[in-house]
Amino acid sequence: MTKQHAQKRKKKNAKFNGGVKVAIAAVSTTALIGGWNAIGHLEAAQGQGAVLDATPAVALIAPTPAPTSTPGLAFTGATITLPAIPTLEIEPIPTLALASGTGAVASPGTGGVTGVVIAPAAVSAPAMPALAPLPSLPALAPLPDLPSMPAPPPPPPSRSGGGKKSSGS
Amino acid sequence: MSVQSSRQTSTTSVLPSRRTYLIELLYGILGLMAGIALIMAVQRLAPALIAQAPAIPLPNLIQTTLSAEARTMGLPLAGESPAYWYAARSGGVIAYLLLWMATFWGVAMSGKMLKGLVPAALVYGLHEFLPLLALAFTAFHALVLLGDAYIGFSVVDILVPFASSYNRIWTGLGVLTLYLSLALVASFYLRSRMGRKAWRTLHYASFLAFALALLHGVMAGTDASSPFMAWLYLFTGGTVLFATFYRIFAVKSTRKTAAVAHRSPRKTVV
Repeated sequence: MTKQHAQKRKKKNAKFNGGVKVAIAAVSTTALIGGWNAIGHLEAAQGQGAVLDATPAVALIAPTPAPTSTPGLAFTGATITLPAIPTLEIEPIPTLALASGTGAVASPGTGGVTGVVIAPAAVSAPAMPALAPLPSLPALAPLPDLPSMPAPPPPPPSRSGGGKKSSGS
Repeated sequence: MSVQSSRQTSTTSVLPSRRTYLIELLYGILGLMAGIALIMAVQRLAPALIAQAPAIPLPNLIQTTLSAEARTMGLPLAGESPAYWYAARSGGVIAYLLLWMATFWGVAMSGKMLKGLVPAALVYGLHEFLPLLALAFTAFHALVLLGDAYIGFSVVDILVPFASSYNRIWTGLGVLTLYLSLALVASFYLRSRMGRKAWRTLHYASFLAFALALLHGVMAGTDASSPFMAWLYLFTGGTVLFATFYRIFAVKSTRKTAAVAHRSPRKTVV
């Protein structure tokens, strides 16, 4: 009976063997790596948050200026009489009349796109005074004769006396 | 007589022998050394290996996701990489959770909260293995901090309590927790040599180790301000407190029952 009891105990003891230890260690290591990864993600998210916080807020709508009271022009309730301003009379600015025969034509080099090129038109110029005739100049004197060229120098005498080239030193 | 002998047999079969302790300690030391060697090798060789590694024909989505996740984790391990800091934080949280599990498990075990719920072998086995694992993760937490270039922890900062200029007091408490955990784990293996009273006294220091770890996490932890971690600290601290009170009252009631049984043995027998 005692032996059987001891054997049962031994069987129970065998339950916590190396396999259980390895399993616990493996779970712990997995948790370590998982935690490492989670911390990395957390830090990355916090970093992004910090970057967003550091970015200055762009004012899409300009702030409305607060109404300021100008000193000296405070409304007192009295009627203000403004001086009468004379009407401005200016003659209209003369404009050039569009000459007949001009129109919008396609300019070269634009691929057929209609440009605003005004074709030259016939301008009727007013009568100009006639020019005076040009004065005629007297005939030029004949050029003097060129002096005769000197005789060319004689060719230099040969040192070796033959057709051989000197080797030189 | 036979019942007594069977009890003795069961106790001796549940509690591992000294040889088993030594083998486990050896495995623990070997594992720790292997872990340190692995970290150092990865730190030295990873950039070169990544540069020379052939392109693995993974589906585009998986490849993109994996590389994105690696970048999020601060990989590859370069000089200014935040990966060390992230890994140290994660390691610290896992070490704290393991220490909490070990403490809670121990208190629940002594308060007989787990009696009949969990097999005895699992109760004792976990009670020994969880502190060892917690110590390994605490060592990882401390060692990885050496690689972080931002704060620049030195070996002295990590090994000498209150030597670090970063959160001097609270970091110092963390170093003390490491030493206390080391002493507690060692006490498992030196139990036969220590004597029952000394072992029991040292075993009570596990409460102190947990309290120091909790303080270290709350005051020096970067993530302590997050609601998740705040709730985690509240939950873990609360459960250990509850289990401790439960144990105190359970022991008191057991003593009372025993005293009553001693006074009137006939009634209790009937």
